[in-house]
Amino acid sequence: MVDVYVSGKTNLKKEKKEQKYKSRGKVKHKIYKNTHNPIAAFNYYPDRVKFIAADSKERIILILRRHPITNIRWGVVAFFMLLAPFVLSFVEPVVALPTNFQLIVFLIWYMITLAFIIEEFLGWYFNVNIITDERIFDVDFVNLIYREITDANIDQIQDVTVQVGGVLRTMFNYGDVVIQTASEVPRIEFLAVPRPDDVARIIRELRIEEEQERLEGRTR
Amino acid sequence: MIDFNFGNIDFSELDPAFWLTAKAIVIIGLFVYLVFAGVIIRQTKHMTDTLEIGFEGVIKVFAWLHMLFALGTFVAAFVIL
Repeated sequence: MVDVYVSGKTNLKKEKKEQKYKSRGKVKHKIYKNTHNPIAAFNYYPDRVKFIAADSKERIILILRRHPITNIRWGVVAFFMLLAPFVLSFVEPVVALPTNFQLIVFLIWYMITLAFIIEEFLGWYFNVNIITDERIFDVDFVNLIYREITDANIDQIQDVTVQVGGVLRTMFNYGDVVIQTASEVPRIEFLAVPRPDDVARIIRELRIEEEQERLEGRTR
Repeated sequence: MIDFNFGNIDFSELDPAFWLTAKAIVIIGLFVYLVFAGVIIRQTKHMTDTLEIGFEGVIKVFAWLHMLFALGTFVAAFVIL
């Protein structure tokens, strides 16, 4: 159907936005939508992001986390931990405890449950894979205060393999993206990330762009 | 075979020294936990310094709530045990 009236204002806004990205030398895909959600597992062109290892001119294109479905296991554990005091309050040794000790035991239990939920969420939220227009990063927080950031230049990527297997992974469209590089770290793995085929495609396109930049002598 | 029947335990018959020892253990444990709660706050800061996307405020609030919870439990254990 032919559009009878298209708002010029909307088109102008769209054009301005596209121009903004083109002026940065990168074309933004229309097929991958920005969810504007900071806790999204597939965060394409995130709105407001500050990453310690990125250069000031580096543009962050994609932030990936493990698929939210991978949180189910600890979610179920947390759920039962929340319910446990109600069940245990009928168990003989707990009932026999003095009331003041019962209260403290329950408080301690819920405190540990809260800590468990916070730790698991932090582990999921901050263990990210980042793709910029120049590099790829694998950020791992191994324990409470130990951080490991691995990076490789886009032009050092040699091979990208997508691994999707199993019922759950096929159903929810998530899997591993294994990247072979020519850098000091020969292998960077994006584990259990959503839409692995799209991730591989974005990396492939960035490699082509990087190659073009190199041929045109525009490399940073 | 292990007997899981705890029905015969009568805590009221236990020596007051037992409860004093139990209180001391709980308070020492909670003090150690307070340190752990401090480590979580430090860890949150460390993580948010590394990456900022826009949800850090909520995470920090939860870390501080956990710290307050730990502090409250510590004080409660001191007062009511």
